Amino acid sequence: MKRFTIGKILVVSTSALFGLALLTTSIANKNVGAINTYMGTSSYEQINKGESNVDTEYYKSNYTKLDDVIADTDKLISEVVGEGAVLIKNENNALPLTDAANRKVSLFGVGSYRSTLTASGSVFSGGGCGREVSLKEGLENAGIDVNEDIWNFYGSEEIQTEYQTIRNGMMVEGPLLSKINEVPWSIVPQDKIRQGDVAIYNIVRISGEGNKDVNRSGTTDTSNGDALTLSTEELNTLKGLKALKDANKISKIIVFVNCTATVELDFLDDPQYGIDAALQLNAVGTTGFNAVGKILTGEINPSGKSADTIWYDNDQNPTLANQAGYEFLNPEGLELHTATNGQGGYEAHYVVYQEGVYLGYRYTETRYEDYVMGVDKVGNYDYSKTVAVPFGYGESYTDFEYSNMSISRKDGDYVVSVDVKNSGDVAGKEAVQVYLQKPYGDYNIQNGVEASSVELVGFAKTEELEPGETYKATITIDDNLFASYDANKAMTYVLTEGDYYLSVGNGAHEAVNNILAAKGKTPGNTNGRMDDEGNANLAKVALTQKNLDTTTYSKSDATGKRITNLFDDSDLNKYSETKDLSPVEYISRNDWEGTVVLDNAAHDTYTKITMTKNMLEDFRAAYTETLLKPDNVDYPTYGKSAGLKLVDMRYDSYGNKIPYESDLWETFMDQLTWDETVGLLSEGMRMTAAVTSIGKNATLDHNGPLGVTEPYANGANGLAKKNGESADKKPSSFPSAGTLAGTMNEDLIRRVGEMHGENCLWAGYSGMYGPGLNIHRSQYSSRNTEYYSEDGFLTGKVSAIQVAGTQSKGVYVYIKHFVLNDQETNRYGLSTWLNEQSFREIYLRAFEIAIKEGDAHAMMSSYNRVGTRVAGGKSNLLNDWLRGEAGFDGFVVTDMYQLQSYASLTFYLGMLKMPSGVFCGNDLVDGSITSAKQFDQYKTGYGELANRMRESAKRILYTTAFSTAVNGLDSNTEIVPVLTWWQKALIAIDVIFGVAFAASFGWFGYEFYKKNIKKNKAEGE
Amino acid sequence: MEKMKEFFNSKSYGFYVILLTVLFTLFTIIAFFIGNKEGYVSWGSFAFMLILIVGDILLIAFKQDNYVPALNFVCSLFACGFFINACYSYIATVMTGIDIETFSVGFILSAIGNIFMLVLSIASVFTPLKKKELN
Repeated sequence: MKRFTIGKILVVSTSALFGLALLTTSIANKNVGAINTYMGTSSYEQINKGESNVDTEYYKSNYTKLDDVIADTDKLISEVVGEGAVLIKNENNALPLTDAANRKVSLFGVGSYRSTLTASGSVFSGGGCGREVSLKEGLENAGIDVNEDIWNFYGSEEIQTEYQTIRNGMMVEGPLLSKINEVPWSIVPQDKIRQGDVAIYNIVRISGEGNKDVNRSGTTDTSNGDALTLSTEELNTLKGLKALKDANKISKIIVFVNCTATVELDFLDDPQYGIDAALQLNAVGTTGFNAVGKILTGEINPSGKSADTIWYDNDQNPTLANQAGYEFLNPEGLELHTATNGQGGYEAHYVVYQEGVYLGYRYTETRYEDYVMGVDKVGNYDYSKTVAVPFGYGESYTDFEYSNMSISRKDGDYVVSVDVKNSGDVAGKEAVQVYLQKPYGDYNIQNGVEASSVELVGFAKTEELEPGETYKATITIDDNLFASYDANKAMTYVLTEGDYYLSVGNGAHEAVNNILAAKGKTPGNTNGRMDDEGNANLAKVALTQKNLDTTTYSKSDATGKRITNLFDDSDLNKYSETKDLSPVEYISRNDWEGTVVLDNAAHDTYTKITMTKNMLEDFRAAYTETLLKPDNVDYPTYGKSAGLKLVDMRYDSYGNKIPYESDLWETFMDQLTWDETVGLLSEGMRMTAAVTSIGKNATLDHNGPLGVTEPYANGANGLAKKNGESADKKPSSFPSAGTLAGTMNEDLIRRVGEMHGENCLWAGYSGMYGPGLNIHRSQYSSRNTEYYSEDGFLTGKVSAIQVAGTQSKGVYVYIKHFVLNDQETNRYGLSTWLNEQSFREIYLRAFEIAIKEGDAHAMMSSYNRVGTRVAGGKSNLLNDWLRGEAGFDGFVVTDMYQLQSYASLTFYLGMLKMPSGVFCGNDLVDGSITSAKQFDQYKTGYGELANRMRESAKRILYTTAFSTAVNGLDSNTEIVPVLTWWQKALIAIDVIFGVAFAASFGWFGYEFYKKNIKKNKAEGE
Repeated sequence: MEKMKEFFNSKSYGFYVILLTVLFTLFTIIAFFIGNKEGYVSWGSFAFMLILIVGDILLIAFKQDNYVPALNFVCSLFACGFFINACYSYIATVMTGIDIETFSVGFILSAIGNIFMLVLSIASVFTPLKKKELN
């Protein structure tokens, strides 16, 4: 081959390789944090410069081996399912399967082979840990004999290829539930069913982050297109099993509802399906089926309570009329940024929480009570055709009797005491629940202060009680819960005139019936409208409020500041651009018939809102950062060294915690430079940045709400890495958050929190993205697996205990997503509207309790707008409510804020420039360092912003000072930036290919020159 | 017309490789605008594609054909580099499947265009431009 041609080949190949190497290096350097997480490397080294006589492992694990952490985590997962699974039906003691003869089962349904263990998105650990326990294994581990032939049929390659909708028990397969795809009953080999087997049918629905919400329509194999109704083949399977039962081929039919996206249960009591027993399992986590097996045999007596209303008919849920993302009416033809996929809400989509406070059981039970009481305008309301499983309900293999209920006061709170006796034949635990009824009188009606019939205000779990054993449950009720928020007249929390009842019961419905009984109502004197006698002894008047009180609860406990309306701009009936139209008719107890709107087949009963030019300008004001104006405010001090390190800012020499507001913290903060401050606020993609001058190392903060998701050894500062553990060891996934909530067991919840903390220690996390505190506003929201409940109190209470547990291990938790991210559809920029009473009493309450009782120190703001402003850019939310009222002293990070991922995220970045975010109280961006450039123009002349930036930086440093971020550090430790091995390798490759390219180019140039000389010479001749 | 006939008669297959490169570059530019709303495209990539097309026209017009392959190669290398830099995050997002599960039409067309543009520009470096070069 000619030298010239060789030269060409060399130049082309080396230049391409050199270009590729440079590109790779450039991309890698923009994603150092993410690559470090994957590789288990760190860009910083901790170097101790002196002798230390202090134990610098400030936060220690209780374990010395990772295998023990994993084993105990797996046991705990099983324990959560054991106590959280809800027995929702058990006819004629079909369960437990008490003896060997009836412990032979056949498992039916495509979901029996591939079951719902977890969900997709931020809870998913990427392919599983290898310890997943299938339904079959779980039952066999409990000593149950499972029919191999039927199992092998459903597990055959042919069936799994044709009919699966779940991959590896976790991933979402294809469009979300566009087809249920159950195996036709006609091809199930019925001849392989053993005589007398118990039939177990596992119903699954997978869901998870990011996918659009579960189909209300469009599912091809259900009768009405709704994914949360049983498909034709699922119903055929049940009918087929019933026929076999009638023919005495099978002995019983047990149904497992193995999904958090709960199917409607109209079939549960339908005689044509003959279901004997049913368990609500949600997603069971990695090892949860072990507990399910024990529940079936009776080794575990189920004691879980439903954290949601499970509907008999989903269409009866009023929230579904306003559940998707709706397009604004646009008669002016305004040009709105619209979504290119289902995720972007941008400017064009909104949702109105028209149900107000009447969400879930607050609706079903309140309308029921009014129906029983014969109140005007209650309309035709059939509770039995609306609710299949009431909120808080769960059965047991034994019976419990409640008696001797009493109420006392202690330090302003209410203390409810009640005896719980196991009056059955087997040992069991009981979750004691306390419900509050607030009065609904003239003041309420005249001023739109709604009040549900009952609200959960307290709970406690008994120990395991032997038959005949009695336990005295004592539950303290925060008196603040007695107040309602009056957004219209008093504009603060009020106590209205009337009787406040406290009641105990097996769920909200029983509590309502007890209250009705206490009011003298019976089925007899209500013409059968009351569906149970109730127990008047289990409902007592805790408070008779003689006059309206607008003072007692009008100040924040946390800050002493006056509480008043903050969110008129998020209620369309008060927002400046729409208030004259009053476009929303919220559901009111005063007129059920006139205000309850149900969804219809065309899905067009939603509240329709028109976009106006002024409203659009208001939307867009955020993009142009009109909040930030030049001022003459002094900038903070920068770069003034005081020799203080982050680890010095924890406790003083007397062992007292150094207060956040102390002068020492100000001296410490003066050390940071402008660039260090900007860097700290700009680099939060699953981390907080290092600040070497003050001895702060970078932290690893990662997903997720149901446990650690990354392989343990990936965390550079984790115990797994330090102990040389294998990179193959991966974490387990906990069950649905709703299962944990349904245990109502404070001790268990706390242990779960602590175990998350342990897992984080071993995985090297200092911060954990989770738990999720959004509300199950609709059963169709695809991220409900990560969230606890439809109830704000239960959500807040459980998360507070869990958060405290995790934080006790030195791991701060980012409670998320703040706020109103209750659906996935159009989540980027979806404009969410609601009234302030429901906002405070349900959605904010969850976060408020987690902050006040759990001392949560980090939070993630949400993608959606609250009104017109994205949550992370809403000052009245983050500054006035979060810090001003709730007393939050931690820091807020955005949801993922990565440039140029795709259009939806790019639009989010446009809606929320980080300087505005900081100004409004959002401290950190969950993105890469490129967002630092947004601060460049504010280096001078914007003193107010600069001071808020400093405050944001301080919040981050204060939180990380009390976390594993300081493990291994003392005053003599220096944090030194280093190149990781992969960065060194990339540089070496760049140099090698660069030299090769230069050499090739030089050589080729010489050959080219020689060729031209030769050519010119030849032409000259 | 005669001149044009003469012009094309003097060209070897390498010239047509260059024409194809230009065509695919145009195709990629169109795909760029289709995919622009997804937010992953790069104006740097667009700039180099434009330089490629304009540069080729000028070099051919001024009878400096020999430099066209080099220009094409350099421009397409940079264009592809900018494209990858702009869309790697988008690719990762689709692979993860949380928010989007499929690549958009604009992206697929851009990717195809970039690949062909680069491959053809490399090929044009090694293929003869003029018929007398074959001899």
